[in-house]
Amino acid sequence: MKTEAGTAATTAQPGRFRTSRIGIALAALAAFAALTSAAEAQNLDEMTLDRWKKLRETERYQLKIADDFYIKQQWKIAAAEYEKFQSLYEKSEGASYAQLRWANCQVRLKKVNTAISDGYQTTIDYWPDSPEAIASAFYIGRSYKDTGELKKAKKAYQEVLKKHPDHLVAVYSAADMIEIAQQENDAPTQVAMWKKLTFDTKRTPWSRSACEKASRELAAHMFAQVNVDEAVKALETTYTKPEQVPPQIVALASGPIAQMVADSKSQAKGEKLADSCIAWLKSHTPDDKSTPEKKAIAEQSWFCVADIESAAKRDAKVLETYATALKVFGEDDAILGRQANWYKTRGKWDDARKTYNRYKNQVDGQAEIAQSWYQENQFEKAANAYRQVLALDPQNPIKWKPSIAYCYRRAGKTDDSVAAYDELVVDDKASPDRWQVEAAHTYREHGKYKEAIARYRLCNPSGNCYHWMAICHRALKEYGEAIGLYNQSIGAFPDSAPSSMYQKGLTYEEQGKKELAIKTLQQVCKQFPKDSHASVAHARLQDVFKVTVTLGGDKTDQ
Amino acid sequence: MSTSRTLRRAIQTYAILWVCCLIDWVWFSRADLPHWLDLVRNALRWGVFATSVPLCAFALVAALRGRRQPAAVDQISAPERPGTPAPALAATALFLALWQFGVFAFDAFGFDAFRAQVATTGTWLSFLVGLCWVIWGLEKISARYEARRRVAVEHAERAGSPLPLNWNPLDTGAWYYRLALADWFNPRRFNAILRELRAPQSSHYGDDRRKLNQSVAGFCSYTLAFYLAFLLMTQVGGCSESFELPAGGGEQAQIAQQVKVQKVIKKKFVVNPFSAIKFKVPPIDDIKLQLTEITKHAYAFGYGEGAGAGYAGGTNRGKVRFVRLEYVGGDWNQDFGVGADLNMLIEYGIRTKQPVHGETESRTIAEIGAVPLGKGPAFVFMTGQRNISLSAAEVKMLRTYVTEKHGMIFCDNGGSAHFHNQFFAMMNQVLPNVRPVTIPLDDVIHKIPYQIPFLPYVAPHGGRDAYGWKIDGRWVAYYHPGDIGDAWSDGHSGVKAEVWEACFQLGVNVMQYANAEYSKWLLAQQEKKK
Repeated sequence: MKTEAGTAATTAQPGRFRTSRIGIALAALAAFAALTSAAEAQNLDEMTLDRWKKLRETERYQLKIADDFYIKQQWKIAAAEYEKFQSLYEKSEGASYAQLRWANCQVRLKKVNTAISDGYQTTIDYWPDSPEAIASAFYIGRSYKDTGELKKAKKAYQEVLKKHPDHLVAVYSAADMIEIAQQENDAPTQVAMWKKLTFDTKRTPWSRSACEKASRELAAHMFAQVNVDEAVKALETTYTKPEQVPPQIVALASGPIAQMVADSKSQAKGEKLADSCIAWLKSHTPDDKSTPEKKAIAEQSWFCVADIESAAKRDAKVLETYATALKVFGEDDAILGRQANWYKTRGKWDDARKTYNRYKNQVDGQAEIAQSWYQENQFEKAANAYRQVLALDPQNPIKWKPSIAYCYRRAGKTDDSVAAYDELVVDDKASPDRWQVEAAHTYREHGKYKEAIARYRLCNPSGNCYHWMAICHRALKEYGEAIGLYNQSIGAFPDSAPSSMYQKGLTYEEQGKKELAIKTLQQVCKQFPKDSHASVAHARLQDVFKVTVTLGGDKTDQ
Repeated sequence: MSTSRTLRRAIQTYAILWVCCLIDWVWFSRADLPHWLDLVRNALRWGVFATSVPLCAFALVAALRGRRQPAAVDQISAPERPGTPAPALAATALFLALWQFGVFAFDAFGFDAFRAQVATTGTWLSFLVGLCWVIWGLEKISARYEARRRVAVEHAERAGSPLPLNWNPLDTGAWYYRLALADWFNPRRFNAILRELRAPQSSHYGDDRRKLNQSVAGFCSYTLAFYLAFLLMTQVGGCSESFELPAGGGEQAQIAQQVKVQKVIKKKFVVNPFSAIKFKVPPIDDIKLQLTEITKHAYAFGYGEGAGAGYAGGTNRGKVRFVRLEYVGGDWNQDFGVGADLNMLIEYGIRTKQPVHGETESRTIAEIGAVPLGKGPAFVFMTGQRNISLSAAEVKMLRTYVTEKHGMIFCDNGGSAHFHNQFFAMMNQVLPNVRPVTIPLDDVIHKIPYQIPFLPYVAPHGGRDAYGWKIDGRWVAYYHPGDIGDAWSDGHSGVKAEVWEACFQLGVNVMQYANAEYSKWLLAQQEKKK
């Protein structure tokens, strides 16, 4: 089921354009987080070039071997190599570095206490003036935090903040202190650390991410305290351009406003916060509309005002704001689009569509209308609307036809959907196979398994169509064929072998071949003990077949 | 007359004794008594419960005989007066005695399945028997009231005075039995009927429905009363239990493996083969090495100063117990009892030489919550693969148990990723200010008494890391992600010996950690008192 959902997620369809955008944004965020964490590690547990220069060739060679394993995340071997370096070149410039990295390897090997006592503390004791000693002091705090020893962690971080206030470790320590304070509901410490990171810390490539996060959190806290000036002051340390601040106000103040307004006790406070935000936004709205860029910035301010009004549940004022904006800037697709989106949030779909109809760019307007039908689960109307868009924009069939096909698919119109996919197979010379697969999925989803199998046969086998064909055969109760296909899938796609083998077991179960089913499920437990399918197979053996000997069992990697 | 009175008194005394024994058995079974008193109590229970069956049977026979040969009116005892079905009364008493004795005996001999079956069936049958008595009683009493009411109505008609409103629920003439369902929802009509009912001429109002209404009300009241009595018998605990640790002492240190090598050298003779002396050359003797691998217990398992393996905070009658937590929503009893978690408790006893309880037990969260401070189990075991559904009160009890009462939750994921999420959500409720962290392999819980080099698991239901919740440097919850309970059970789920042995070692470590921490706390409490 999971694989099916995964494949469906890649399907081109209008409702999921936004999902894919969110997906891209999430991926970018994840990449950013990975980069920042890598950067953090790089900065704290790496040796400067000046110090590398001081190493002898043999030392450098040994360290390079160890570093290679460290980069490949082969922690056990890397630790052994760093240990070797230590015993061979105890007085080397790189000894403290090797010691620190050895300790990091121990943390990865889940031996945190060993890392603290024999790694980080040793670095501090034997090389107190080395840069690694400073890093070790921070790592001790983090290790304690990661093992739940919050008191010890706080003590270690406070020591770091006291001894190395201007070092990067102070930034990381403050960030971790915020996390601990949040866990312990210690607001004064949180605010003190946020202020330190926001106002008193120099922004470097390594510290920027922590400082920016702190400034946003401080601003959110200040908004919740109805202190707009302080909040904006915090935001301005991160968002230096004037046009960057208003969207951040909306992002951070909308939540507290909505929350306060919803409760009668705090409603007045919420109204006050909304009014303060709006007053600030209006006072900072630029009058200059001379260039399209400046006009967009000015419009943005108006949108922010409308968003704050919306968060405060003042619908009349929202409409009033958009009406004024349309008077000030004239009939504009961007303003109309925002207004229509707001209508949608209030469930006023027809008003939204009327607003989209006022678009100067008819293609965009009609596409938005089609999208709104889709969002309302009126798939056939959405498909027809997309057909109108295609008529307005016939040069871009590959842009609109997938949406038409998907809307028909969701509407249960198999033939229309497959016909649209067939057109795409012809139109999209770059990836016709993709549309064949989608057509096959459509048949399968609508229970036309024979047609689906025929379609899957036309697809490139690299996409693991065996798996889907097997599902179709199972649905047709052609178990022999399904098992054959699962076997092919197990052989051809090692990554999905646990899943295919588990499905094979279920197929035997459906077929009534109990012994073979048990044997196959036991095989999943035995061959892939670390895979999540081993867990499911183990549970099924016990729950359904009442078999206690499941042949699972494993130990974690060291 | 005097014989009958003596007999009646004897019956009354016996009935009181039986009820006392029943209350003691139902509510106070887990009370901690000295051994001799416990023996006396058991003997008394067996004596009273076992005699109840033949006595009731005898009473039934006597009642049946009495029915066939009616005695003189002045010799008839109270239950045998005309109109009272003495045989039915005796049969009911026999049924109750049989049911109770069946449950008691099966419970005493440990036939849990039979006990449960008899208890359930008996509950339903007793409901039906009670219902028959209620119907019979209502019929009798309402007929008596009916006759009285007729007389009262006649008097009122003659005097022309209004009738008072009848509130008696045993009388079918009660005003509320005369109303139709719709009358209750129409205030105007309701008031009008109430006024009319006071007039003697309207005494027949609602005659067609009052019997039915009384029967329905009787049935509902009886059902409610039965349910409340059931709750009282099953849910309300008597005096709280105590789970004391065994007295003794020991160190928190790793187990040491020692290999003893003993060389056995036979005598050798160096002989010159060219010597004139005749000397038979013996075969060259080889050296035999006697290798003896022993596990040296250089210390006693436990914590503190004391004789034998145990805990300084324990008592002489204390034992290490394996208490499982009963919760609503899932299969809390997975791998429970003989051939399953009992194996772990036995292994703990063998490996630590500490006295252990004869069986693994289960308790509800309310029962754990009722245990007084310093008398609780050092840890409770929890497992399952479905939902965990706790009430706000239960969450609070668990919070008190792990924080104020210094207990520990030892959880094992019995079979699904869903249970992993359920347990984490539960802990988030129990300890909202404590975040779960991965427990390092070199943590004391993974080191003492056995060094666990890897986290063993049967199936990775909740990942491959053990998680813990720590408060003030103490693990208050240990979560194992991969069905450690399956590795403890008979057959060990077919996993490799290396894995199941590590699972037993891990179990010993967690239990020893919980007991030692509890003992430390008990000692600290004792110090404070001083």
